[in-house]
Amino acid sequence: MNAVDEINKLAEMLADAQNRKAFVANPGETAESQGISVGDIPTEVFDTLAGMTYEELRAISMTRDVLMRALGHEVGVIL
Amino acid sequence: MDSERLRRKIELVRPALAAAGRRFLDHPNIGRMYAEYLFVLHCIVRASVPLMRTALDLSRTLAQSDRVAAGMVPYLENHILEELHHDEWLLDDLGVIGVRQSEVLSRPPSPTVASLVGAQYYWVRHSHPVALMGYMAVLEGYPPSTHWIEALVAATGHPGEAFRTLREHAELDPGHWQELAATLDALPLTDDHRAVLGLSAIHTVRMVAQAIDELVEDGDAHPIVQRRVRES
Repeated sequence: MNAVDEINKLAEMLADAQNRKAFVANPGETAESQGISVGDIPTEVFDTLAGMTYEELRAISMTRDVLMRALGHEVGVIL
Repeated sequence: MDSERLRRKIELVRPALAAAGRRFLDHPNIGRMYAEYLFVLHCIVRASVPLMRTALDLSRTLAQSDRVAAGMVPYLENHILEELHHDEWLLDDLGVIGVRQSEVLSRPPSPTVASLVGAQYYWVRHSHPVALMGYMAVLEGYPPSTHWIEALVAATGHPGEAFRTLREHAELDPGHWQELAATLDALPLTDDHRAVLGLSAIHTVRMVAQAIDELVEDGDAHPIVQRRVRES
């Protein structure tokens, strides 16, 4: 698995309100329980998401489609 | 450092801006659509100083009992002076390519631009004036690159005088980001302040990318583009 795949899976996961709620309380445990390999996600990216509030994650998830589309084209910018 | 924390949040969604910018640059009718692009920029930029004045007024009111608001006052006082008349630069750029001021000023901005700017008024007045720093971090922290501007000049075929605003921002904004970052890092922010900063920045990225995508998706349907087609 590469980082982009894992970030996309994380973005999918965060689109769900219950998952977001769980992620705010226990980021690593929640992500791993959904089959996401946290170790493959750049620490800076994961830690930034893990430090966000529920509302910030919701805002990120609203940008998700654009984010995922952009990730496919421009991996270097985010990683 | 809070500026670094904010920048990392922006980096998560920033590819959306880059991708929208590239789709715009690749549009086959970019020469005609550049006028519409400048119109959208004008809609956003004309609100910068009024937004900062709103945040400044509220910060002054709160300053006695709120150290974050107090810390924003000198920054906003200075930055308002730096941003004055930038909307007029855009009208000049539009004039170079034949778009009348009256045409720009009389046309209502899109709901996307209203959501972009209007959200800031809400957060400033009903959450905390520091929210505006998230908006400004996006708009000033990621100026167009010289390379992107030159590609735009070449793709549109318009005279170089029509790109003054973009060029000035490419030159000035790196310094503006440093001022903003230094101000943020000196403020005694709480987690609630950090959260509204993040929300403001993420929403800004999303709405700016959406505004550019609307240009690309609507193509030749835009009023300014339509008029230029009729006149060509």
